[in-house]
Amino acid sequence: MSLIEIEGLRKVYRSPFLRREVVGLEQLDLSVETNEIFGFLGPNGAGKSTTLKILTGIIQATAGSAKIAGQPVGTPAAREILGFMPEFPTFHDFLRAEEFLTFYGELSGMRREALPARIDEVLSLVGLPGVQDRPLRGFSKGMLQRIGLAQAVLHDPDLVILDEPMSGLDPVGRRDVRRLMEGLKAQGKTVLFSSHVLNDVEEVADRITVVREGRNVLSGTIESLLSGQRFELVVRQQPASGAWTKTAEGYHCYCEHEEAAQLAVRALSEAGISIVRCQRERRSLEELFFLDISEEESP
Amino acid sequence: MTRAVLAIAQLTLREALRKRVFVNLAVFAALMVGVSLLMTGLTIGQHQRVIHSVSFTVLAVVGNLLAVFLGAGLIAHEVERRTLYTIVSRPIRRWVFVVGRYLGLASVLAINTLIGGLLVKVVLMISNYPAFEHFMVSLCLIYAEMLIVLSISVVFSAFSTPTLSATFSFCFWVIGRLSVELQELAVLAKNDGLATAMNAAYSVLPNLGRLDPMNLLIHNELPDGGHVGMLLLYTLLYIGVMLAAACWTFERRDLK
Repeated sequence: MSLIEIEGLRKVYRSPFLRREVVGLEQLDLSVETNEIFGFLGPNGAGKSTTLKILTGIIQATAGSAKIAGQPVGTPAAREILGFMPEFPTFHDFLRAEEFLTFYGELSGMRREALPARIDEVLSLVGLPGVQDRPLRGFSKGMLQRIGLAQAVLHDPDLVILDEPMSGLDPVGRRDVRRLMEGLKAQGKTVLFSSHVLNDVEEVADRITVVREGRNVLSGTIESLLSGQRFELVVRQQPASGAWTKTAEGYHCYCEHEEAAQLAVRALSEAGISIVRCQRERRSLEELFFLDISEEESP
Repeated sequence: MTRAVLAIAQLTLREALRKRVFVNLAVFAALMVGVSLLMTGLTIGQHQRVIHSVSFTVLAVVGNLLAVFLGAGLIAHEVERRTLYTIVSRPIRRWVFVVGRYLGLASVLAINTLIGGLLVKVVLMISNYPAFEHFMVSLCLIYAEMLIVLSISVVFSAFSTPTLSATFSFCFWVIGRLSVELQELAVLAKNDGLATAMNAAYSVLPNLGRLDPMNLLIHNELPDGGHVGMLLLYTLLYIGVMLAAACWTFERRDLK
């Protein structure tokens, strides 16, 4: 059984006075397995935050079903194993860091005597050691993002949901968040996160799904999605036939599929031409993302 | 759940302390000293009663305005600032938040009323007047009114913006103070439909006039135990119904 199971999820935002309807999610299907880092991608307004809000009980779905560990979302039982950090987190800034985390620990039912040690631990984990007595009012945007992560992992949840965790962070902060996610995975936890920073997603996610206009348009493991159909072939000397391009490495060309590449390698070997490299083309996530968007936009 | 309710109540009390909500008491104290000095020169033989009357009125007005404005922001502000996102995603029901916030604000108002009452006693002591015999009962009536007004503003806060909630709750407070007039209007109305509407409005709206300590001050006599019991029951029932309505609404609300 998947840890998160979403089937046919639909969300319509209704304006009661204007009688206007905005579709936030059309027909979303998604499953997140235990102990994986799952990236949730899509352009602005695609339905990423809407999905995460439904999962965390902030809003209710109009139709379809969503379950966490077999429990319907919206029930306290579904939120037992959940830690969540929203996009652009805002907190009660009159609190000091320790008071803030104690408050969330108590809401999560943590034992009071275990809290001080755990607070020290998570503050170090998110790169904020020694800030226990500082009021949140004086925190920078990056520090607020980090303390938001601290409250999400404070009660050691099995599932951590992060909405745009890298936004507002400098490169060091982004690296720390990636490490934190990897650390959570190493502990057997599951992480579901949305992000606009495609390089970060590519580096850290095991599987991704791309949503647009409330539907999944692309899903799979990073490896399967980024591996292209074409094969890149690089040789030292220019062969007599074929469309070869000269580069610093030698001459290279693309074969459209694996069989064509095998035939080309055999022919080159017979001709005595030494092959530098023959491998499946790998796209970046950014290329894939924009390729997918341009396919949708073309008439 | 009790622990979560208490944690939220404690957060609310801490917020009031750090945001200096009790600054209103300084205004109240200044008003009290000013009024008592002024009244000493203007009234003959009624100083004690005037000081009591003015102080109870100011205490009730300041306290109820606090109830209106703090209650109006109780849920609505949290929704606007999105501080609720991380709270409702915890394994708690939403009513826990409503009740915790209500209890927190009720304790803020209790502290406010107690300190206000203490200030009145100090002013009376300085003026060499004894405190009114039913002083504490009067404070309890003022506090009960605040609790009802607070519960009404929580209902509005559960589905509306802070500004609208404050406006609606303020109107309800004013109408609640005058709701007895509705019953009298119903008697005078020549139209049956209008009389029924007046009576219905009277039944639904809070009857805050019953909690006015001025009646005690004028008659200087405590009503019998049965009447006090009914007042207490009325207050608790009204608050209970209002909080249940607020929780029901908030449980179903999308926090966009």
